Amino acid sequence: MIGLFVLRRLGSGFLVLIGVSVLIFALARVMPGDPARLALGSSATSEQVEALRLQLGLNRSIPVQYLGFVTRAVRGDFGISLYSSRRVSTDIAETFPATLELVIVSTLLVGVLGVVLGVLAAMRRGTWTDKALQLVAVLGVVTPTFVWAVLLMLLFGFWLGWLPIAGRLSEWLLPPPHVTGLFIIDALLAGEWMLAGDALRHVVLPAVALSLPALGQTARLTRVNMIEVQRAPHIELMRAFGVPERSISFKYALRPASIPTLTIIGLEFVALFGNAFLVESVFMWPGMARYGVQTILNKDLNGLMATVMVMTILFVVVNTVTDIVIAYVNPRIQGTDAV
Amino acid sequence: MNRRGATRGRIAWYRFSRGRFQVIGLVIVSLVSVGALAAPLIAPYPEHAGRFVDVENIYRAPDAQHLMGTDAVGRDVFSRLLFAYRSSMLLSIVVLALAVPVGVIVGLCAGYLGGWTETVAMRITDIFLAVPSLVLAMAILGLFAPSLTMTMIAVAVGWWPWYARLVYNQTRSICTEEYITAAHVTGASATRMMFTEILPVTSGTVLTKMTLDMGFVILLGSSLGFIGLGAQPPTPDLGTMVAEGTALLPDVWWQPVFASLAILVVVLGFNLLGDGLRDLFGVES
Amino acid sequence: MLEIRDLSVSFRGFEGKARVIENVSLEVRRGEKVALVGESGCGKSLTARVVFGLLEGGEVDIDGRVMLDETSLLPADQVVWSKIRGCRAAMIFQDPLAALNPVFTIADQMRAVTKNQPVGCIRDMLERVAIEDPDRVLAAYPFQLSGGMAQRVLIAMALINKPDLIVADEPATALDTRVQRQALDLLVEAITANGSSLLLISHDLGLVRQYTDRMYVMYAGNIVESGSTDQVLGGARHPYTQAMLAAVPQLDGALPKGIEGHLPDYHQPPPGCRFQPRCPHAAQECHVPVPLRLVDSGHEARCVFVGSSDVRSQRFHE
Repeated sequence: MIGLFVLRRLGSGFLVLIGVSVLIFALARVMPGDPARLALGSSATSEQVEALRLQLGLNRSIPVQYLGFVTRAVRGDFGISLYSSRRVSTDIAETFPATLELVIVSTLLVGVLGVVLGVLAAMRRGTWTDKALQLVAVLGVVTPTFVWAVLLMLLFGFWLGWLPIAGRLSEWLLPPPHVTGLFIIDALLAGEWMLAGDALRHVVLPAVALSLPALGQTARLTRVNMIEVQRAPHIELMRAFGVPERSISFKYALRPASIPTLTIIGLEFVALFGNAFLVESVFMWPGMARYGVQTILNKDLNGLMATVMVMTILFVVVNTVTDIVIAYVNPRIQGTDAV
Repeated sequence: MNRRGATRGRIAWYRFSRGRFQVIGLVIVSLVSVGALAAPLIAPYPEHAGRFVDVENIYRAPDAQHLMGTDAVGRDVFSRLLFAYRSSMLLSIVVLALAVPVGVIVGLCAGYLGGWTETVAMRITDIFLAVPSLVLAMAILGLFAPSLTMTMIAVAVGWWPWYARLVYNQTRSICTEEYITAAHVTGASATRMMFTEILPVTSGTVLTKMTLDMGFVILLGSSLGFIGLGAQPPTPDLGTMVAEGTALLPDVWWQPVFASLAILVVVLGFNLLGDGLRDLFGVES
Repeated sequence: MLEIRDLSVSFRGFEGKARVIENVSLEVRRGEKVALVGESGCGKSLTARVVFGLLEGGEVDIDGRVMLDETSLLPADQVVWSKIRGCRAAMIFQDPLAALNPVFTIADQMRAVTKNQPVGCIRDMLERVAIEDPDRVLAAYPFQLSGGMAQRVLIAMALINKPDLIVADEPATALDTRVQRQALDLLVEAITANGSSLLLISHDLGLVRQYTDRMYVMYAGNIVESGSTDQVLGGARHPYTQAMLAAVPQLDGALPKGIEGHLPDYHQPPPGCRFQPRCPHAAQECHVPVPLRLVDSGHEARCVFVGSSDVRSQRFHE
């Protein structure tokens, strides 16, 4: 049963992938101006432009171009970046792990801290703790990410000087041997504790800045759901049977209450990818999001399409995993029979 | 039970006004709206919102003449913020005016009509949801020339699927209710069914989301402005104004600080108001 | 062993203070089966919740004393509650499918409420409540069970720690008739075997007649009549009880008589007897608070006309 469920989810995910590729491709072609001319600049001669057009295959019909794009993409060939003059796949392979590391740490913060704070606020409902937590959560939600980024940078970077504010590692250190591309994990795998610690210190500020809006939202959502579940008859029953309050909050109330939160985590993850570049700019984080913005500003089509495709694949994967986890937690969806 | 003869409206207002925060939200939103609408009238230096340079007065700290100081070319920050509010509110209104009808109609049709309509509509919705709104907006703005108008279109394109999904889910669950089958049996046409039976039920959720979204669109708009993809200079833009001042922190602090606060305040206002509406309508998340 | 004395509960809401329970006293002796009867909204479920300390929140005011043998349940603190709940006193909830957590298996939930019992007793208990395939039920989720089976699970939960007192809040309302009887037979059987006491909260007089020894009739937050089940059902003296009995459909096909009117507004209840507005015998004397008056040995009713030789009240008596 679970197997079928997973297959269906993957199937629809694949369709989404195709759809996005078409969308992005269409957008890129609808854009005004001739891509070749734009790339070469206005000083180029018509022959040069024509040559580039042939090279890029722009003289063929749109569906054929799309097909070409897809077949190459499947092989991992996204062409040459007009911005960096290197293979796009190389650019992405270099920058993606950085953003991934950042977003993973942020998601952990959002998922764990957000839920814990939400449960705490619900447990201490009405007290000052609750009010304070709610205030922090609201501020997190309404303040733009870049404001948080600048604020944290000033506070912890300049004034207090506790944490570094640029790059992934201190300048004098070399990255760990490449296994996953995630410096913290790679450093731990290589047994280099100091390196891991340094990487961790560098990721803290950007990850916190990135996670704050989603963290606030998760905390508020969890709090509201917890409060509502607390009024349910099945929770009252647990209480009437003397189950300790802590168990009730963290186990019996949390599981049904967390379902809406879990539903959103997948979307939050993708949204974090979207916002990541704001943080990457401020903290000079060499990530794919920043790269993506550069491709946009430089009208580098290949780079742009590749970036979007990678993000979509990620989205599909994350959503499938989330759906599976939800099905585990909420057994009704599995479609089991009656006893 | 109308024991005290109170109308539903009065009870609703009573419940709403009990919550301090919701009222604060309403106050903030009203003030900002008035400020935005009346900007040309109440701004102390309305001409600063356009091309204006006053080299004598650059980087003045906040004082009696310039409540929030001046910027890199001597323009009054407070006046520019008022005009920036104008652009932001306009952005939100237009984006929602475009996105909400499209999303709601798609969601209604998909949920009610089912079959191929449903499959196709929701697939398309999923596709648009797959790309984060910020990325989509940036892509569109990057490929076409950035401006306030383009920003509106770019954001709206990324925004409508949320409404489609919201309304779709609600329509699906309502359709299983018996009163829909009952109305169906009376021979009501599909359009009538959707708009007179189902739509009113979803209106509470949709309205709540719209209120919250007013704030979130402004947030998105300011993020775009931060990278320069919003309204182009010399038109004032909240995000751009934050970005402009950042390099000089912490000495010349007033522009980024006041611009950030401006964003924070307006988003907060809509958020509080939206939460109040959510409590009022008894909406599930 | 359970003694509730002068219990008063009020809620502070946006329309003022609602005095939903006023000066309620009742007791359940060891081994007894007592019923608390009344229509929806009269406060009987609230009374049950007070016993378990489930009424919380800043807007609730509770006065009075509740004692379970030597232990004070009101006033009480968390330490007391944790020792009582589920062990010495257990509650059976009204809607069995709603009372079970939808995302946990039956086994998980039963284990959660079982305290210090030998291994395998959960399975045994499910068998005792006539569940034929306990292993399958244990592995199942609540939505996979029928109402009757879920109710039996709740009964099993209540019995598993061998409590001295079981409070059953409308245990059969959500079930159909045949299943109702089964469930209650099981419950009463187990209770009698353990020597426990039962407080049965219900509006179903048939169940009350069949399963209980004594009963209290509650109206609008007051106890209006009490006595042995035979006494009250056979010779009701309070006009409300009489009207309630008259409202039960009879086998001779005559249409039952409903009671006109509705429950009073708890924010502004009538002074004195709360049944006044609907009582055919209402008189001037009813405007002041009326104490319980003796009808017979063990039988009391809260009515000014009780204990007098007023012809009107006797005429209404069958």
